[in-house]
Amino acid sequence: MLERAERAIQNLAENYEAELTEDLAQLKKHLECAEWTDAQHYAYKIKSAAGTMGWPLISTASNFLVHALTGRDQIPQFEDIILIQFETLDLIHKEGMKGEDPCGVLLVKELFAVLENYGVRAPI
Amino acid sequence: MHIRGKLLERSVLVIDEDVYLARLIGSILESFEVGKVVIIHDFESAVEYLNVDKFDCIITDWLTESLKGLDLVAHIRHSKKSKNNQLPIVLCTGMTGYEQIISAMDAGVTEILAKPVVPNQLLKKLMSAFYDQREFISADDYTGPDRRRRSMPFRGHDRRGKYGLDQASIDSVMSENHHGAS
Repeated sequence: MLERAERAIQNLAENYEAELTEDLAQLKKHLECAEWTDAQHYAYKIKSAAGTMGWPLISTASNFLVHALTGRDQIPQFEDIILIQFETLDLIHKEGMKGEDPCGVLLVKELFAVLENYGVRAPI
Repeated sequence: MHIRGKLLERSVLVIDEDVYLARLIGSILESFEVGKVVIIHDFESAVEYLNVDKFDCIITDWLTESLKGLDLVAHIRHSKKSKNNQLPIVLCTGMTGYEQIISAMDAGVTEILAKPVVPNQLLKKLMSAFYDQREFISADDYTGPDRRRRSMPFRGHDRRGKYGLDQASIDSVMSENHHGAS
């Protein structure tokens, strides 16, 4: 039963690359226009789907971005932070770092460390 | 538990604003051989469906765009028009902060499934919703499944205030004897 579910996901995942590319483009557009609510919508969408579709690192990095966008009023240097976050997402995608890609894992750990250094604390 | 074929006679309503994610969840449910899967994308359509049709379970997102996910839970639990007041509700969400989990429990959800969705977790929540239902409480200040569960030690990573709880942590929170439990 679970094997069939995994096969169903794989079938959908074959077309997910195009969806992810489009979602990242939309996210970038809304971030550049400071349309934070719309950006949050796309970051949440990417977080929710990417993990299931074989991109767990994209999902993790998008989760950081969702929280940064949610707590933007409390974050000093907010625009620097989201730029770093988006560039990380973009790099993971462009380099095809699917699954638990070792370089991707290091990249996400670095991103987490950078966020900590910036004093980013997501709201509860 | 042998589960193959057990879900053929079950019906599930899936509500997610994201067409792609809804289709993903629907595909997983079909691979589980759930007999009837209805997918919709907005609060208003969900209310219409729930007023005229009966389901065995509902899987809903927090509905971030309209912020109506918990309103939908309230409608299901309290509306005299609804044919599904005691329906098991699985909240499938990426919004997994501790306070959000407690709010969802207080609203009367039955199970919480963290996004991104993992098939075995979805199956676990579904089977729990169907076959491990807690007593249903109808009180002045709370309507929903009994929030008290077996008291278990907190086994997840304590990440309160960080980036949301993982599935193990959500399950632990829901297993704790919540202070406001009926």
